[in-house]
Amino acid sequence: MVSLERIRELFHTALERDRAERSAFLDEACGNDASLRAEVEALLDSFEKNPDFLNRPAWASCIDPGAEKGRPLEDLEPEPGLPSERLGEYRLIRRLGEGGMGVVYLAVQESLNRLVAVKAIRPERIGAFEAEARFRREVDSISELRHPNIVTVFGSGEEKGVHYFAMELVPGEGFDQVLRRVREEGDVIPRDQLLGWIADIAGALDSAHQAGIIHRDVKPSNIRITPEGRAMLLDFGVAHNSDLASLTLSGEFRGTPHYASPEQVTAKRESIDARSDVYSLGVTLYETITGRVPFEGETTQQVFFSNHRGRTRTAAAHRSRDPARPGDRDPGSHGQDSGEKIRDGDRVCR
Amino acid sequence: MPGAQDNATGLLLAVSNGAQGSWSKLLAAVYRELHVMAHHVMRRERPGQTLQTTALVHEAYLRLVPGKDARWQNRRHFFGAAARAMRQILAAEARKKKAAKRGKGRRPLSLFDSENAAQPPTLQGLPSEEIDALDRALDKLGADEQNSRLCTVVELRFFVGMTLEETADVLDVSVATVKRDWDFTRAWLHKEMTDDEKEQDGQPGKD
Repeated sequence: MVSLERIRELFHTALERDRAERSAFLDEACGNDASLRAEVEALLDSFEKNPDFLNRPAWASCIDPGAEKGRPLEDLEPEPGLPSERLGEYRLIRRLGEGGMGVVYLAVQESLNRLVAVKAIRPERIGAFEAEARFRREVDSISELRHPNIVTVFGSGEEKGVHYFAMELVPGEGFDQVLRRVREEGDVIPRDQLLGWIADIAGALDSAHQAGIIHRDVKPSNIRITPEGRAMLLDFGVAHNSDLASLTLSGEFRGTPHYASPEQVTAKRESIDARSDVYSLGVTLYETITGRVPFEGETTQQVFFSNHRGRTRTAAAHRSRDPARPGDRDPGSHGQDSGEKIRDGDRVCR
Repeated sequence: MPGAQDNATGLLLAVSNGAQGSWSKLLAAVYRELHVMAHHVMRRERPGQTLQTTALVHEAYLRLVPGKDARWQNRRHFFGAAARAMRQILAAEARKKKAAKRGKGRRPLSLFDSENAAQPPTLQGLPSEEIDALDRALDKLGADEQNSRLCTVVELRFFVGMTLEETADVLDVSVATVKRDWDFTRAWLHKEMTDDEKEQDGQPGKD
C-alpha cells in the first residue's frame, strides 16, 4: 500500500484545482506511478460522487422517516414503550417527535398499506378539557386547508379517550436543522432557494389566513424542508381560528418567545391577527440571514422584555449586503399580509 | 461515583505519560460510563428520538473529570476515548442486529441488554450493515498508527455527532484541518466499503 500521506497530499491539492486542470496536475505529480494515480483518482471520484456520505450522525438515522422506505410495511415492528399498539386503523411504529400538544408517531395505515404520521394528544393531557379542545381545533384548522405547503390531514378519531389524527408523512428535515447545519459548515443557503422556501411558507400562511386561521407559532422548527426542496408549514397546534372564541381561558402565552410578535408578547389578545404570523416569518427570515434572532434572552421573560421595550439591529447591520427588515414592531407597519412578505423577499434579491 | 472519577483522572494522566495499557483502560472506563448514561437518557427521554450523544459525552466528561482540569491533552484523550466508545457501542449493536436478522424468532434488539428489560430502547432505523462495514473499514484505516487522527475525526463527527468546530476544539487543530481530514477520510472509507462489498459479492475489485 502506498503511503496514505502522499495520497492525501495529492487528493487535497487536486481538489483545489479546476476539474479541467486535474488530469495535467496528476500526470505531472504522479509521473510513472500509475497505481498512485489510480488511487488518487478513485478517491476524488468517491468524494465527488458521495458528497453527503456520513454527513448525518449515526444516531440521526433513528429518527429519519425515510429509514423505513423500501421495507415491506408488515415487517415493521413497533418500538417498545409506545403507549398503545394502534389508534384506529393506524398501527404505530415509533415516535417521530413531539410538540406542545401532541406526540407524532410513524404509523402504517392498514386499509391503504401506507406510512403516515399520526399525531396523538400527549398522554398527560388526556382528559384535560382545554387541551383536548385545542387538539381538536388543530385538526379542524388543518383539515380545512388545501395547500401544497401545508400537510394534508387524512382522518381523525378517538380511541379509549385518546384523540388523534393522521396526516401526510413529510420526509426531509426541520428548517432549524438545515440552518444549524449550514451555519456549522460555514455554508450559505443559495438566495433563490431561501426565497423559494420563504415564499412557500408565505403562500401557506396566506391560504390559512384567508380561511381565518392564524398559525401563531411560525418558526424554523415548524417548517420542514422536503428532499425535493419544498418548504412545508407544520404544527398548527396553537393555531387560532378567528371565528371562534379563544380557548386559551387562562390567557397564557402560547408559542415560542423569540418568534412572537410584540402584540403576542403584550398579550393584547384582541390584536393578534394574520400580521403576527407575518412578523414571525420575518423573524425567521431575519435569523436565516443574520444567524440570530432579533431579540435574545435567557428566559421567556427576558426575551419578552427585550421585545417589548428594546430595539434590535437591522439585519443589514449584521450583514450589510442584505437589506431585509425583520418586521417593524408595530403591527400596523410590520407588513400586512404574507403576499407582501414575498415582495419584501424579492427586494432582498435585487 | 468518586471512585470512577479518581480512576478517570488517573487514567488520563497515565495516557498523557504514555503508560502501557492505559489507553485501553481509559477506553473501558469511558465505555462503561457512556453505556450506562446512554441507557438512562434513552429510558428517561423519548425512545426513537435523537439521542443527544454530543451532550452525553460532554456530561460524561464533567462527571468523570471533575474540577478545573482544562489541559487540552486530557480533553483530547477523553473525547477520543468517548468517541471510540460510542463507535463500539453502535458497532456492537449493529452486529447483534445483523445476527438477529439471520436467526429466527429473536426478540427485537435493544441497545442495552436484559438488565433493564422493562422498556428497552431500540435503534430500529440504524443501518446495521453499513455501520458494521464502516467499523471494519475504520479498523483497517486505523491499523496504521499514522492514521489515528483520521479515525478519531470520523468517530467524533459520525458516532458522536460533533460539528466541525467542536471536533477541531477537541483535537486542538484548526477547523480547516478537520475539514480536510473529514473529506479525505470519507472518500477513503466510501471507496474501501465499496471495494469490500464487491469482494464479498464475489466480484473482483477494480484493481
